[in-house]
Amino acid sequence: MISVSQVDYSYAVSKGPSIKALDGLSLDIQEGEFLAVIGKNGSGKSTFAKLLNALYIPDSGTVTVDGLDTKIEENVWKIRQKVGMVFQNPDNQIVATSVEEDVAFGPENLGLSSLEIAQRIESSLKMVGMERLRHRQPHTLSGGQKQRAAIAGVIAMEPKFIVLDEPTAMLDPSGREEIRRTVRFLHDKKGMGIIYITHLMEEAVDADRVVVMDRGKIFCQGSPREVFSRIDMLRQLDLEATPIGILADLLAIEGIAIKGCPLTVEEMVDTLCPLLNLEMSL
Amino acid sequence: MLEDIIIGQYYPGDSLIHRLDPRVKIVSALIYMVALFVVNNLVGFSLVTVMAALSMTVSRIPWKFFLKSLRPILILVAITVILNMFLTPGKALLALGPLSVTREGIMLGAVAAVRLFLLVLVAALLTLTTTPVNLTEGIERLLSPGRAVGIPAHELAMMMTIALRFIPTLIEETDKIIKAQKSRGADFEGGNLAARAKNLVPVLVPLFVSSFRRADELATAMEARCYRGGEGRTRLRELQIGTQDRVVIALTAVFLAAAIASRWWIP
Repeated sequence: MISVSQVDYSYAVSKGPSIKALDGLSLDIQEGEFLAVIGKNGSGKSTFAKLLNALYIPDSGTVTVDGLDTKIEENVWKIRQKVGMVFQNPDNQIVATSVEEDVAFGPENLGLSSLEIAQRIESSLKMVGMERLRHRQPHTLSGGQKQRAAIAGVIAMEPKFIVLDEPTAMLDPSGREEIRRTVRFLHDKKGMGIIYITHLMEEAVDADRVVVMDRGKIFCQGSPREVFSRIDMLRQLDLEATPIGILADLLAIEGIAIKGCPLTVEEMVDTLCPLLNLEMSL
Repeated sequence: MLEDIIIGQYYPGDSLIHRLDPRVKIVSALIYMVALFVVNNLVGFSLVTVMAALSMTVSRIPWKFFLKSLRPILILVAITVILNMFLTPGKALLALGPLSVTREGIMLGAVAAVRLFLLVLVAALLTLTTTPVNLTEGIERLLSPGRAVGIPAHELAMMMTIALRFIPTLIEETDKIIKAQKSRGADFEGGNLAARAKNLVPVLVPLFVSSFRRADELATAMEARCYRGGEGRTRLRELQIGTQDRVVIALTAVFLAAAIASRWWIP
């Protein structure tokens, strides 16, 4: 379990007062949970992500991973093994000159035997569906493939949690879909804890829990259905609602009440069709 | 223009030389280069030439790749030969005004040319048969005993790996910046040399800025993946000296001995 309690974090700025990125933030993340963190730019969500594996150390308050405090130097190593991190720019997190070598980078740092490293490469590339691209050079891959390679590199360290900090921000729609599928697979089939940072509502739909951040604080949290039904609140925070959410809102204005807050196109179809039948039978 | 730059010049293959341990290849190439400067008579030069030709044949790399590697040094060799021909005192064969071509000059020039050609050919053989990754790893391993005296072997190798990894990325980026600046009316073709150099500033500045950002992000990503330097780090592929490698080491030793012998025991 990751436990964040009463955390403050500020960035020092040359000439001027420091900027407070996190303000008394508290949050627990359970093992195997899929947590989505949404918020607009500057809401502190990326800072929050970097606290989770001791890249940042809180100014005050504590972050613990399985009881290990990130403040204590000796724990950092173990914590980074438990909490893997995938960053926004796929190009800037691939170290080696081939996919296979890059996936090996983490396990090599852990001091595993060659045999063990080879096995981990095998299994993690399989999980992200990149077995066939193992000898490719990073610059010959598409954005989605690079990002999946980066995810494989993290999985190879066998972490309990994977933090993804806007992993699709630099990808095209098909790359986004690849990442979404990979993340769902890791959560649903492998039981990994996922902390997914994004500003795109659509990508938070799969989560177990959505946390909305604003100005370094948790603004609200709940299931995707609970959060996304509050269109007014999202608008107030400058967050764009999902297209389906907007559609439901527009229909409500026209006097067509949509029950149960559908999240996906399929759910919307299922909700609308009976209404349509009702209309026709009248 | 930027797409066709290739990194290193590895020529994929599965010859005996390709399969050798990179450390053995590097050391053998170095020993060969020493031998090149040890030999000083016809027997010695025949020996080094035959050795080079043999290794190149065994590598099964088309000859044109070796010839291509010689092209950049042709001018250097030409200058060396001409200087040697005219400036070495000795028996004049041909007089051109105040200058004269001497017999000794021709000999010295030829010797220098052969040495330079063979030097480059063997260096090419090394880089053509070894991937940059293996080359880096070989250098790291060879330097690692030097850690005791402060040679940062692992760090050097890591820097080389990252450089190799990012060269294509930066080339792509340069291309993008050039296109972006061109689309805003920048002119990279016109003007004299000084003007052209000045025109590159709008390309270099964004490239530098983004490179520093990349470096920063990469360092964070490496740290997040538990990187702590070379200490306690293992490798996916541990290099292992096999039978072939031992045979090649033995052959190289015999070759060096023969080169030394040719200098001192053959008149």
